Amino acid sequence: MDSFDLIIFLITVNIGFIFLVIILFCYIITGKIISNYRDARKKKLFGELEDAFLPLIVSNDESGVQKVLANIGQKNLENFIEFISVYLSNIKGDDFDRIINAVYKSPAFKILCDSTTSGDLDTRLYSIYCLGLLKKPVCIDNLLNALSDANFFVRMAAVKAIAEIGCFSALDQVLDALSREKLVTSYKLSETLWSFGEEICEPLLKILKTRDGRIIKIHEEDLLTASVIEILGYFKYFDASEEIHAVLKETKINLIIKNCIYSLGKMVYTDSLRDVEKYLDSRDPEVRVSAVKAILEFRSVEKIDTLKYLLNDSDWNVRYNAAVALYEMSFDFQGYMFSPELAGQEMSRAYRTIVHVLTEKYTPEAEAGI
Amino acid sequence: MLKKVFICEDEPAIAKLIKLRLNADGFKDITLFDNGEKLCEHIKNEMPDLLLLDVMIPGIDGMTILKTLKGDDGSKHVKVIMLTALSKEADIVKCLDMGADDYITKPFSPAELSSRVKKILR
Repeated sequence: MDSFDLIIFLITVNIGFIFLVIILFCYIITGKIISNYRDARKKKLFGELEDAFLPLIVSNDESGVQKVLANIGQKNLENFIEFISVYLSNIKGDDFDRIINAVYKSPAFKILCDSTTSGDLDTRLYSIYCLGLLKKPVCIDNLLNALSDANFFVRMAAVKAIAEIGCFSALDQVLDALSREKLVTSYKLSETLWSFGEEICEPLLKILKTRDGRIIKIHEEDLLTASVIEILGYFKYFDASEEIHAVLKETKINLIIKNCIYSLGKMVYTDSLRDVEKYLDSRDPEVRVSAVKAILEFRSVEKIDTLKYLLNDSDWNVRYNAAVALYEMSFDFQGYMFSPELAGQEMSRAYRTIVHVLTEKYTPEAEAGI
Repeated sequence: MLKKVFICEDEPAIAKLIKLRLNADGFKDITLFDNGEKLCEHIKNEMPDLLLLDVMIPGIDGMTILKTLKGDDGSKHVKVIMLTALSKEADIVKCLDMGADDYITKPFSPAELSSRVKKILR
């Protein structure tokens, strides 16, 4: 290669480089213009929606709403959902009903239902989410179809939406759909059942009474029974206490034992006290924690000695909850810490836990005895 | 009504809605803030009769603002209604213990909120 060829080569490389920089610059500028355009379009739509919805909420004036909702199409559906979700998740009462009725009466509702089968994943997810917030059972067929969607997140969004609508007639389909999922966890199952609201307790008790009928298993653990018991306890559905006590007596699965104890404690079902106490020395620390919390709910002062013993437990959570339980039962920590019978014993874990809980519970009012 | 109301809420649509609702019920002097720092800065110069305070706001959080307001002799007379998504009994008790005059959980009814404001400022 002579010097002339080298110069031509360098010039070509430089021109190519400049060309690349220009392309990159144009790409950035175009992106910025498009983004600004979208932002402006979104802002304009939000402004129009706000002008229509605020009079509806504040003074029951529906005149502008149907006009603006008639212009909602696939193109601006995502922006509409973003706008309406803020109201739907923050407002309740008559104002909430007015909003959902206005949307229901408009063509936007049909677009939302149709979008549950859209080819675009985000559109499917957003529309299902929005239908859940709108709580109109009329869209339940669309949501049931979405339970068979190819995408896991869409299926889970449909589960949540059906639960939020509180459609108990679809409970079986929801549980069947969840039982087909490999990734479903105890937390997800409980969250779904909880989303149905307090009225779910009666159908859940029926499921519990026929618990061998349908089982959602993970790692050989019966998740459905565990979650049903947890939710019944969360809502303190006392009618289920006897059944839960019966489950506690028969089960060997730690997750179910833990949830039974939690629920019986929440319901303060004192008939189960003797069976709950047995688990204070369970090998599973989570079960021990659950038992300690239940003992506190029962205010079972005769178990104070066991709680004192658990202050030195190998698990932090057990020690912490035992100290909290003792504190709530007005236990004399000072007397305990300086008691001669503990001299020479390894009590550092217990002392650390006691100091932690006393510090956490400290308030000037408590110190002054107010 | 000549009562001065400050609203500190980071969701603009909700802040605007509350403002309009209160406007419709006769409260004309309403100022909106979207974060805790702006509110604290403003409150040094101008004190409201009532503050509607979201617990989870950017900058200084609602609990800290409540504690500061109620701990200062110059501002402890300001009525505070906490507005939050936290609905656990313990959260409500904590707010009321810290001096909040009322507590409203989200989702809320704008009409009910306005009634509570009226009741507190009566």
